[in-house]
Amino acid sequence: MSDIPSDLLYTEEHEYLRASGEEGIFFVGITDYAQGELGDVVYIELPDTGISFSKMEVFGTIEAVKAVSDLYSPISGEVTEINIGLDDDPSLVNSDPYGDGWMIKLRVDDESDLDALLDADRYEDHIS
Amino acid sequence: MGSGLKWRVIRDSPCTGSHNMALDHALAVCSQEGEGVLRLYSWTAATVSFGRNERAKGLYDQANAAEQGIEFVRRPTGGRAVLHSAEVTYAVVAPVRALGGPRASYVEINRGLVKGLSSIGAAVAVTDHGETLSPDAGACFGVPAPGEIMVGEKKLVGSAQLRVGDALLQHGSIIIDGDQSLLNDLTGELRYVVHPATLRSVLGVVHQDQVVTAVIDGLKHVLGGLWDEGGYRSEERKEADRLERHRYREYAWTWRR
Repeated sequence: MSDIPSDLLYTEEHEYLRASGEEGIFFVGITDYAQGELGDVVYIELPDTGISFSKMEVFGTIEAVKAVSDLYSPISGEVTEINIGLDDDPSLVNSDPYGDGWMIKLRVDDESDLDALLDADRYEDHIS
Repeated sequence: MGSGLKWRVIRDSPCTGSHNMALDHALAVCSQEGEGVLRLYSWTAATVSFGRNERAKGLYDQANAAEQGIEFVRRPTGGRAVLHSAEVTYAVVAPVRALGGPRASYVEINRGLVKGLSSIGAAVAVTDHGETLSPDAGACFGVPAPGEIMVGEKKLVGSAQLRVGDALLQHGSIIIDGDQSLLNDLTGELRYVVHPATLRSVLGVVHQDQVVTAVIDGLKHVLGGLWDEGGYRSEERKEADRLERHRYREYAWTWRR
């Protein structure tokens, strides 16, 4: 059974947004369900800070054992920080996807775009 | 598990590395709901393919490779370096959910390959042990990962995947003959010493067509659905041409890491 925290927002592509505590800035990562489907993560390619992405634009890639998947920006915004800890230990995405396994911090362009994302119940329906 | 898909089998003629990777990638980009593709192909020249995220820059002696007629390409998929020469290469493209997600589809496709290769007498089995290695951990045929196809303790098939949108691509090499340890000559290091199984060492005389037919029959049996032979759609060719021009023929892509 996958962990789906009730206070996060989700995409159908299995990314999540978690409020960072800084206004308009959110942690972005992949869900517990997604990491379970992929298996052991061995490499993550993330963008430089300062780069802006449109909604659904590819912001990086993740490689599990031999399987590469694109990572999609859940919303339009600018990358303010990347998780450099994943360089040394990409398996944090497996062990703590919603905590130390976050990938980027994104400053969203327009917070009204958050309305289009899935809440926990709708994401659970999506993966069931 | 039956996929319920309508499958198109493409028996391709030998292509360059850049064209082979562009075609596999294009099939995934153009994948349609309810349809699967099995492509079987070979290579016009011996080619080293790198995994999508594997470090290769500065590790290979490109002049030495050129003297030996060996080319380089970087795959869209993960994993580590493979020297493609005497082999049958397969590519399976299907909607992600049709085969049950990346790990489940890996198991299903490998079951089909085992079924096919067993039918021509190869004593193959899927290993339940192996290591989870980073893309920089040496050659593909060096160490097996769990779920890979082996003959005894030696790896026979090396496969890798890409998920693009709602489609999954898995492609891989079924080694007929040749020596992966030639990679040593190109790197000047001993980190790539590998001696995989080959169908020739296991079966003696074996023809490429025989392996191709066995692979088709094995996958057909395991994946189910409707199967027919065919070619490329015009949009697949166009996308392959675009990808080859802008990515797979580009020096910057091949040596990006």
